[in-house]
Amino acid sequence: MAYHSFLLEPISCHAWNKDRTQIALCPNNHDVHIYKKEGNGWTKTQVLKEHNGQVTGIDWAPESNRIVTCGTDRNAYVWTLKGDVWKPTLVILRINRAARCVKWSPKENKFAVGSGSRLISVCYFEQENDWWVCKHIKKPIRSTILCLDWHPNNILLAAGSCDFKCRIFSAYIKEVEEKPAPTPWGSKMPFGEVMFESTGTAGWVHGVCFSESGNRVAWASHDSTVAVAEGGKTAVITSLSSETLPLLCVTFITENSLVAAGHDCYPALFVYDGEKGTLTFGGKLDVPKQSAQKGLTARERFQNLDKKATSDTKEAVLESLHKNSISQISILQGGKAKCAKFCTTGMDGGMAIWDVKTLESAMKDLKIV
Amino acid sequence: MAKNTLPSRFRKVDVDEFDENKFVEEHDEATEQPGPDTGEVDNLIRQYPMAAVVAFHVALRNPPINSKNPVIKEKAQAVVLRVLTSFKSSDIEPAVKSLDSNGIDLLMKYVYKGFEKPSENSSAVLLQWHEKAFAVGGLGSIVRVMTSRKTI
Repeated sequence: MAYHSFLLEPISCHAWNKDRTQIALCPNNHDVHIYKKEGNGWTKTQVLKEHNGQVTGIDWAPESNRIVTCGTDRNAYVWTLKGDVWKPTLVILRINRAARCVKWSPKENKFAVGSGSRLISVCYFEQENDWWVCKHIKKPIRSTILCLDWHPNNILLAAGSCDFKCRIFSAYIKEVEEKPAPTPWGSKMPFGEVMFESTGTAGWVHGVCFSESGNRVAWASHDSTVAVAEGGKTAVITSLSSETLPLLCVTFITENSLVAAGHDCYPALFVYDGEKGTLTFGGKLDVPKQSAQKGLTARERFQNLDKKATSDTKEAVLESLHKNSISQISILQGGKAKCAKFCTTGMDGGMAIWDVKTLESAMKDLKIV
Repeated sequence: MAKNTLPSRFRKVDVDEFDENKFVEEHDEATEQPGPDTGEVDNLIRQYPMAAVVAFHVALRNPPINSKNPVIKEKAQAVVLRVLTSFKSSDIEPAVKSLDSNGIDLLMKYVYKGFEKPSENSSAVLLQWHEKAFAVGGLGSIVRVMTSRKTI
């Protein structure tokens, strides 16, 4: 497990380039910093200054090498590399509240931006006018969109929102692509059609993720639950109420296993069994506890009893790798089907890279199916 | 200094009420549940300690979640509080263990509701129940009490 502390401020969002040698992140201000891996450390190579408000979402398209950023200034910029410098192109999103998240589609010909204006802007490039145009998905969203994820078919988009629902929309743009083939989520997919809407979730949906095949979608919400829905005639929803603090981000690492992390500062594994229809907690993925139990003197014991009403030796220090909430998780190697490495960034300004094989061998009983 | 002599009654208007995009809570069409049956619970409490756990389960049945009637909610809260107070400290843990995860969440809701209006000895008893329920449900059960829009 490699941990690098970038800054003292929280990392609002991050994105990796195709070969994972560069990371673009926002240090909780209006800029985007790009760091390049040199040996064992990271050096800052570029600072992208264009936004007038905090940058809330960054996504780096691996094939076309373009970065899209969105921020609280209600704008999004698409950055292209010209020589050594990143040049921004403004995209008019036509929103009147902050943008919250942005994701390139798998074919990188469009991207979606979720915002506080209760709508999703799906933007595509119009060749004739040489600029980015956007279409809005409004109904039936009733509150801020917090997270987005694209289906591998480049058409369906999962969105988690503050109105306690996770929905799958069709973001089919006839100008840039052909009619899609039917999927387990439905066959008629006009733009803006709701293919699936979740029920039973009682908190804001912080993180959403499609599996590699696109047949399953998982979401984590603020009522400390994680749920998985399987597409079909009638979508089957399985949810798990966890005993931990709410989770903020979730991703599939195989077709049946999810890793999610949040306010508890450590990633946790969840296993979904499609046949039995169960979602179970698989284990805490974190550095093993340092059991440096020094003996307590009698004086210390009395002091503890006086101050904290307990003679427990546990100190009030977080034993996890991250020292504050984890806000984003991204796959580094292996894709969502056979993930080998994933990365987490959080409010402590640090980034941790987790190796799945090492975790599997370090924690006994950990089975990643 | 300058005093505003122009009419300012418009400042008292709540503009959010007129916003057509205002978030309107979905009305759950589920049937209204009347709350636990007082008579049955009373009977079972009298047969303490044998029927204590049964009284406990009966009291947690039919929570008045979708009810708009505050009287029903008050009554349900009073019944549950009576059952919780009638338990001996050593019996609390096995009773909590007999609940499933939905039951633990519901118990936590009643405990927090009880904290809101403390009476003679209620807080001490509720704290004992809170401790045992927390040991099983963890922070997640408390988060679910705080975020749930369906209040008992």
